[in-house]
Amino acid sequence: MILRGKTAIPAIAGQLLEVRDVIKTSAGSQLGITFIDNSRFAVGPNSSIALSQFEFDDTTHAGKSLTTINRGSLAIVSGQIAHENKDAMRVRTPTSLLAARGTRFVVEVRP
Amino acid sequence: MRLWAVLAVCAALAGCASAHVSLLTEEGGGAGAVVVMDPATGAERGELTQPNTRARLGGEQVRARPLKRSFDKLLAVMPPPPKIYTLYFIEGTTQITPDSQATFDQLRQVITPESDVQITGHTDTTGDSALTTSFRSTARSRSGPPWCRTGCRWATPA
Repeated sequence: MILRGKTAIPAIAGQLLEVRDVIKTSAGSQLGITFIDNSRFAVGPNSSIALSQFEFDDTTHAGKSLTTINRGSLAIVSGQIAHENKDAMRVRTPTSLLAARGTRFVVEVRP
Repeated sequence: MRLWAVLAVCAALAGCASAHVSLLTEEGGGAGAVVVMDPATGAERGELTQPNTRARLGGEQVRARPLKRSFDKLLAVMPPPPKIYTLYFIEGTTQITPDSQATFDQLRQVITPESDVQITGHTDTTGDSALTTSFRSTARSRSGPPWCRTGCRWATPA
């Protein structure tokens, strides 16, 4: 499910996401997201992930992103933003802030 | 004694959020790094640089430990990397070369209504750069490929 402002939108394959969307998955659901900088997410069950910030210029590859994971699991393959801009791809958990330096990693938050 | 004290605090707060970060090998082998920072100050607390290591988040220090679990189930829903198709134009025209026609045909076969297609134009270094820029930004992109009706994003070339 996607929470856009106060509106809940069912998540369907191929759906376009917007900055500040919150993605929520239930116990049996998982989903994948591809971003325009070619970074990719896999979101596990029982997760709440906010696309807090995303800026990317597909000509200059300048950009920055901030994803907030409040609970659940999130696997990330970083893309052009992390590749071209140092520490510009960030993930916030309730207790810390992470910066990706060109890599694949998993963040888990258990409430 | 100290452990009990921590547990008691967690219970009082109705459960501490427990967070971990795990660094995996990159899809093409090797690994980058994940830097852990203080959320308030941005000060670096530490980093994971070795693939298949894991650290708990929230403390002042980042201690990398061997990763003992797999994330196969989660990674099964990771989208595949985007495919790149490079098309060449015959110089001075909006016609693609015969070789690129084959690439273009392959591209047409894999595109579905769910596909997101991003097109970036580049030029070679011959000719007058002002003229090429003008040509590139008008003739080719404006005419556009005939199959691209919706869902195509046009990037202004660098």
